Amino acid sequence: MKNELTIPTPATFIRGLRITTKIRLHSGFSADPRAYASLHKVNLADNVFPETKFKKDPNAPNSDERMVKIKSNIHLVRHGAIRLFVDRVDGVDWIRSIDLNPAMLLYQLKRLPMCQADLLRSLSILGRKVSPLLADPRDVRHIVPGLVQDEESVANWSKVDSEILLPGIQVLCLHGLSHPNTGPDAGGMKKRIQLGDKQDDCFIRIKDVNRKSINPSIRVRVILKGRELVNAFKEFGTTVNIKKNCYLVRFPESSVALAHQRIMAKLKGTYLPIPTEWENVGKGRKFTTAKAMAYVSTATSMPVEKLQAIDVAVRQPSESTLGRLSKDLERESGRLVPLPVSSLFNPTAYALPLSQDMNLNDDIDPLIAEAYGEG
Amino acid sequence: MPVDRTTIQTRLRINPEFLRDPSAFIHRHNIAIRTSKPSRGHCKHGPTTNLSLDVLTYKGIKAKLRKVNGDPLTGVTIHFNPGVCLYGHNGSVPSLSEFLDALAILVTNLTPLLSDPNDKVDLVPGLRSGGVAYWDYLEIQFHREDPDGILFAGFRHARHPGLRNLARHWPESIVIGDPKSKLQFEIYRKAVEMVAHGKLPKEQLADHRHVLRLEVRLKSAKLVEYLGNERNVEEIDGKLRLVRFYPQDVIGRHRDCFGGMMGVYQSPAPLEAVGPKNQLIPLGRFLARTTLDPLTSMPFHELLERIKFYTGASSETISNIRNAGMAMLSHQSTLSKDDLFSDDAYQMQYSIRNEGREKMVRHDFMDTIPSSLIFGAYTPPDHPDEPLTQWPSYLSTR
Repeated sequence: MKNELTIPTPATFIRGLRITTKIRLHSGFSADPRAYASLHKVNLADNVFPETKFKKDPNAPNSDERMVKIKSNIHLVRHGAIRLFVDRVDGVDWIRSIDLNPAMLLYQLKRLPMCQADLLRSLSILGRKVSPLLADPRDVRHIVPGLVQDEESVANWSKVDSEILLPGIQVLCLHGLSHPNTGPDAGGMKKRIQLGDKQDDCFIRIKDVNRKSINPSIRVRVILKGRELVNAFKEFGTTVNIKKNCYLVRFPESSVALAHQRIMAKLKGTYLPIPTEWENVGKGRKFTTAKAMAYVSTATSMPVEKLQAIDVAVRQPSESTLGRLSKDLERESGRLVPLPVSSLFNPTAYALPLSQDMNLNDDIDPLIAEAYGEG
Repeated sequence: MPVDRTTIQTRLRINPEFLRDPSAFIHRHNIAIRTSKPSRGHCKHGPTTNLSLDVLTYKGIKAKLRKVNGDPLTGVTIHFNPGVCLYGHNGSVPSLSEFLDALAILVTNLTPLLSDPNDKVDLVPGLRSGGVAYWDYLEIQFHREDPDGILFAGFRHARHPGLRNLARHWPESIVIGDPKSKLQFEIYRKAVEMVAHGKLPKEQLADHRHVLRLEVRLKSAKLVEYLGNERNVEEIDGKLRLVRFYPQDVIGRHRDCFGGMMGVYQSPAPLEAVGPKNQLIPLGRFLARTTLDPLTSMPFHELLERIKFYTGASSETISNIRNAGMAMLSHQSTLSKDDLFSDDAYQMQYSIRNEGREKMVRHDFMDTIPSSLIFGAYTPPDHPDEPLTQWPSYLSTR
C-alpha cells in the first residue's frame, strides 16, 4: 500500500468513475448472494440488502394491489472500491451502473495521485471481479466501455470525478469565481467554494487543505456527467451515437488531467495573493486602515474615489488625515496584484503521472491496454 | 402550529414478523409503506439490524429502525412533516387542527408495525408521563411577503450571537449556521425552492415568488433551551428532552430566535460619538456602508473575514470593527422587528398551495381523528373551539 506522504507532487487524482451499462446478473447470485459468492469466489465486501419500493399500478388506480420494484447495491472488494447498482425488471436483475474508485481498489485509499497505468490496472481488475456475477459470460465485454465495436456498445462512461492539489494557495485568496458551465459560485464557506450543484452535469468544488500548516493547498475537484463529460473528453477520447445521444466510450489515461485542465482554464475570477509585505515577518504584521481600504478597493468593483467619499461621509477627516491616507492607500493598493484565476490552471500545474514498476503491467488486460493506453 | 420538518426519537416493540420479512409483511397487511430498505450496522452496544421506511405515497413520514441484537426494544427515529402528510408539499403553514390531524395520521400508519397496538402512545411524544418518545428536531417556519426584496436584502449582513460561522449566500436563500449545529436559520424564497424540488409547477412561480420563509431550526439541547418550560420537558435516559409544545411556545421562540439577530433591525439608539484617536469604530462604519452599496457583492461578515485574513488583524481588532459595523447596519436599516414579528403577522401568514398535488393526497376521515391524548398534549387549555366550516382537501369524500 502506498504512503501518500512520500509521493511528490503529481497533482491529478481520480476520485471516481461511473459506467452506465445493462448486463444481466446471474440468477444464482440474486437468489442467495452469500452462497453464490462463496462458490464462485466473488470478492463480496458486504451483504446485499435489496431496497423494495411499493407503488400503485398507474393502470389500475382503484385497485389495492401494488407493484413491487426491487433495487440493490453490490459492493465488491471493499466499500468504496467497486459498487454495482442493480434493479429488477420482470424478475430479472440487471446491472445498470458501476461505480469505480481506482485508488480505493488498488491502494485502499479514497484518493491518491494517479500513477501511470493505475487506470488500466483498475479497469482490468474490475472486469475480473464482475465477470463471475454475469448470467451470460459473453457480457463481460459490456463491463468496461469501449471494448466492442462502436455499434455494439452497451456500456459508456457516465461520470468522471477528478481533482488536483494546488500547493501554496488558500480559498480566501479567490474572488468572484464564475464558470461558463456552471454560473457564479454560490453558498461558499470560508474554506470552500462551490460552482454548480452535484446534480448538474458540471460541478466544481474548491476546498482548503492543511489550512493552518506552513504549506496550505487547495483541492480542486471537477465532476463531469452527461453532455459536459462528452464535451470535455471528445477531443481526446472516443464517442458513439446511440439513439440520437452521444456517449463517451473510451479515453486515454492521460486525458483525465487534460480534461480537468481544459475545464478549469475557463474559470473566471481573481486570484489575489497576500502581498509579501503584509505577511507575518519578524514581530508580526501591523494592521492599518489603509490596508483594509486597499483590500476593499481591489477585491470589490468599488473605485478608490467612491471609497474615499464614503470615508469622508463617515468620519469627516481633516485634510492632513485625508492626505496621509491617500498616500498610504496608493502604496498598499500597489502591493495587491490580482491575477486571473485561470492562470493557476496552466498545463504545468498538471504534473505527469508517476511511472510504475513495469512488472505490474502484467495485470493489465490487453484489450483494456489497447482501448485506454496512450497508444 | 407553524412547524415544518420534525424528528421524533422513541423506542418501541416492533412486530417480530415485520422485522423478519418486512416486504412480505407490508404486502400481506397492505400497509402504506412506499419503500423499505434493510441494512446492518453497529453501535456501542453491538451489531444492529436496521430498516429504513418511507411511509405514505406522497411522503411526510420516514421511520428509521435500529435494533440491537437481543434487545426487545427497537430504537426508532421518525422524520415527520405535517404539511407534507396532509398536502404532499410544505408550502402552507399548518394550523393547530391540521397539525393534530397529521399526528393522528402518523399514529394510524405506524401502529400496524407494533407488537402491541397499545404501545402507540410512544409514537408521539408527550402522550404519557414517563414515556420514551421526545422531539429531537423542529423547524419553525414563518412567511412574510417580500415583493420588492427589501426584507431578503435586510438579512444579508445578519449575524446571530449563538453562531460563529459565516452565513452562506445563494441568489434566493441565506443560511446562517452549520447543518450540524443545533441552531440554524434559513431565509429563502419558498416558491423557488418548491419549483426546484418539483413541488410547484414552474408556471405558478410568479404568483408566489414574493413569499419569503424565515425558518429557524432547533435540535436536541437547543430545542430544550429555547422551548423548554416546566410543562413540556421531561427527563428521559438521564437527559432533559422536549416532549410537547403549544402553538404559543413555537411562535414565541421563533420570535425570540429571529429577534436575536444582529445587523438587521432598525435600532432606536443613536450611533455613539467617536473620539479622534479611535480608528476602528469609523472603519467598522465605513466597511458597513461599503457593503450596503450594490457595487460590493460581499456581505459584511465575509468582507471582515477576508480583511482579517489579508491584514493579520487580531481577533480583538476585528471584533471592535464588527461591533461598530453592526451598529451602523442597524442604524441604516428600515426593518422594524416589532412589525415584522407581530402577533397579527404570525396569525395571518400567506400559504403557497399546489392544487394539482393536493388533489392526489387523500386520507380517510377516521385516520385523522386525533386521540384525546394528542389533543390534550398539544392544545392549550384556553384554545377556542374551531368548528369545521370547510371540508379539508386531504380528507376523502364519501
